[in-house]
Amino acid sequence: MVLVVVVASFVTVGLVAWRVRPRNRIGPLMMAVGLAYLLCDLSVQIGARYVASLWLGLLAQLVLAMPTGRLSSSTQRALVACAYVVILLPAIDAATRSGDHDPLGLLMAWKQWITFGLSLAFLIVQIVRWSRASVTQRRLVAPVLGSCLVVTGLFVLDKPTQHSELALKLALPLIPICYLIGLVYRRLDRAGVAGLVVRLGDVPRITRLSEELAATLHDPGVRLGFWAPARDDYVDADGQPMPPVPADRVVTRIDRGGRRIAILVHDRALLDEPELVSAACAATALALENEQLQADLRSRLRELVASRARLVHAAESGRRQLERDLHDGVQQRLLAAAMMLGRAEHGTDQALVTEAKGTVLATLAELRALCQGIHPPVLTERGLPGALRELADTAPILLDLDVTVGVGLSPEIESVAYYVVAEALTNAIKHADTAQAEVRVDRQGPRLVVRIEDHGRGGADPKSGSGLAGLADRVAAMGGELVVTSPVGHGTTVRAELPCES
Amino acid sequence: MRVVIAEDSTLLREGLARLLAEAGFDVVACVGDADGLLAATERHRPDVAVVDIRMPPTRTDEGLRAARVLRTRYPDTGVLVLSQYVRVSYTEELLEGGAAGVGYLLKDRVSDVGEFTAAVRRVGDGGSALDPVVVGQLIDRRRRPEDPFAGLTDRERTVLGLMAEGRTNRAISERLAVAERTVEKHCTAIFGKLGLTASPHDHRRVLAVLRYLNA
Repeated sequence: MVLVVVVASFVTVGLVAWRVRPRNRIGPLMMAVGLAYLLCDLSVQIGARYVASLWLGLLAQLVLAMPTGRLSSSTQRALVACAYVVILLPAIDAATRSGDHDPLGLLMAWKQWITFGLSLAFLIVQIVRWSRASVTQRRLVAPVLGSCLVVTGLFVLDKPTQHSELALKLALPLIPICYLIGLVYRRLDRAGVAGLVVRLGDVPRITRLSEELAATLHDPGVRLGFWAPARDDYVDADGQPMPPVPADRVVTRIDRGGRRIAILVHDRALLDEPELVSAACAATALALENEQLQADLRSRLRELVASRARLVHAAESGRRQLERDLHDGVQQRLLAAAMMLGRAEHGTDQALVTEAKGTVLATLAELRALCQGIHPPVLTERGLPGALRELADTAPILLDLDVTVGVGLSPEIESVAYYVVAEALTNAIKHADTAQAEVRVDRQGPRLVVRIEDHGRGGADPKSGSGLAGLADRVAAMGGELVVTSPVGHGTTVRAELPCES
Repeated sequence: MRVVIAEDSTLLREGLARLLAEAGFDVVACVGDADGLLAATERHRPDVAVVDIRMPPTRTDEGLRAARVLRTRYPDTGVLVLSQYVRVSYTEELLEGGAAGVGYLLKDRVSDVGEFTAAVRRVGDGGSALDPVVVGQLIDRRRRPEDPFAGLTDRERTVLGLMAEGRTNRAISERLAVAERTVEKHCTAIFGKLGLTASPHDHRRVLAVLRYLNA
C-alpha cells in the first residue's frame, strides 16, 4: 500500500511537472525516483539487490536540485556524487573482492556511519540554503524544501536507530505533494497579475506601481527603472540614474512594440517564474503606457486651456480696441461733420461745407483701415489665392508665391492661413533684413500646408514675439500646428499645418 | 456721353446717377447686379460703365469679373470700377487687355465732382483713370535693392504719379499750374532716366509706366 502511494505520487506529480515545465528537470527526476522505488521493491523479489538503493541516490539528487532541477554549487554536486558512490559501494565491493582480498572492506564496515554522515551533510546543506534564501526564494520553495527537510531528517534519524523506516516511507510522498502545492501557488501568483492590472488601472501612479509589483511578485526588493529617451538610459521614479544591480538581482527589460519602456530589477529566484514575470511586465507596460497617454492628455489639456484663455483675452482686447477706435475716431469725426453741416445750413459759409466733406472723407479712410484690420476685404472678395497675390503685390520685399490651392477651403481656414503668411511676412520685413521671401501653400492629404521662408537674419523667437505666439494659438484653435524654425544667421521658416477636409 | 451705372446700394446708385446727370452725362441705365450690367450694356452700348466691385449674389468680386467680360466683349465701352478698397492685384487684372478705356477708383473720389466726372469722361474717351492710392502703393514698395527713383527729382516723381493715374499732359500741367511744355520736358526726363520708350498715346504711356512700376 505504501509502495503504491509512493510510486504513484512521484510518477504522477513528475508527469504533471514535466508537462507544466518541460525545460525543468524536476519532472523527469521525480518520475525516475518513483520508478526506481518500484524497481527497489521488485529487486528484492528478483534478487537484483545492487540496484535496490538506486532510488535513494535519485532522491538525494532531487532534494538538492529543488526547485530548479539543477545542482547549483560544486558542494551539491560533490554530495550527490558521494551518495551515488555509497549506494553503489556493495556492488563495487563485490566486483573488486577476490577471496580474502577486500580493498573496500573497511569502507563497507563503516558504510552505515558514512551514510549517516552523508545524510547529515545533506541536512546541513539544506538548512544553510534556507537561511541564505531571499524572502522571494523562501516563499517559492518553502513547501518543497520543508518536505525535503522532513525526509532528510527522518533518514538521518533512521540510520542509527533503524526505528523510523516506516515513518520515512510514509513521509516520502510529501515531496511530490509539496512540489505540487508549489506549482498551484505559482498558478495563483499569475492569477494575481490580473488583480495587479485592475489595481493599476485604479491608481496609475508610478510610486504605487513599484509597491503593487512587489506585492504581486512577492519580492519586496523589486525596483522599476523607466526609459528616459532624453538620457538614453533608464531612470528611477525621481528621474535619477538607476543604482547598480546587486549580484542576487537580475534585470528584465520591459519593451512594447519594439520600444523600450522600463526595466524590472527583481530577485534571481523569479527567473524560475518566467510566466509570472512576463505577465507582470506586460501589466507594467500597459500601466506605464496608460500613464504616458494620460500625462500626454493632461499636458495637451493644460495647453488647450491656456491657449483658449489667451484667445478669449485676445478677442476681448480686440473688441475693446475696436470700440475705442470707433468711439474716438469715427463717431467724433461724424459728429464734427454734422455740426459743420448744421452751421452751414443757417449761413452762407461755403468753406464749412468743404470742411465737413473733408471730415467725412477722413472718416471713410479710417473706417477702411479698421475693416482691413478686422478682416481683409480682399480675402472676402477673392479667397486665399487672391489675397496672397495682393499681399505679394504690395509687399516691400519680393515675394515668391507658389499657391496650388484653389477654391473649397473654409473661410476660417483661409483666414488663419492668410494671417500666418501676413504675420510671417511682417516679421520678415521688420526683423529678417532680407529682400526676398518664399511662400508655399499646398494641400498634403487632408492638411493645408503653409510655409513662409526667408534667408535673412534668423533668430526669431516664437515665444517672445506676441505676433507669432498669437498666431500659434489661432492655428491650434483650428486643430493645426505652427512650427517656427529660425537658427541665427540661417533665415526663418514658419510652417503651419491646418486641417482642410472639404 | 452715355453711361450705365451698376451699384447695389440704392442710395449710392441714385446719388451717382444724379451727380453724373447734373454734370451733363446721359445716364441710360442704373442696375443693381452684374447680370443687369451685362444686359444693359448689351442693349444700350454705352460709352462708359461705372461698376461697383461687390454686388449680389455673393458680394465678393462680381463687379470685377463683369468688368473683365465687358472689356473683352465690348471694347468700345470704357469701364470704370469703383470700390471701397483699391488693390494692386485687381489693377493688374483690369489692365491685362491694355490701359485703354479702363478706370479703377476709390468710391471716395465721387466727393470731388470735378475730378470724378473728368475721370469718367477720360475713360469714356478711351483713356485711363487709376486711383492715386494704387499708384502710390506701386511707387512705395521699392522692391529693387537700388532705388530706381533715386535719380528723379521731387517734381519728376509727382509727374510720374499723375502720369500713372492716366492723366494727360494738359491735365498734369493744369494740376501743377505749369506750362504743358514743362510737363513734356519732365516726361522726357523721366522716360530717359527709367529707360522707358515714350509713347504718343496717353494710355500706352500709362501701361508702360505701370509695367515698369510692377516689375
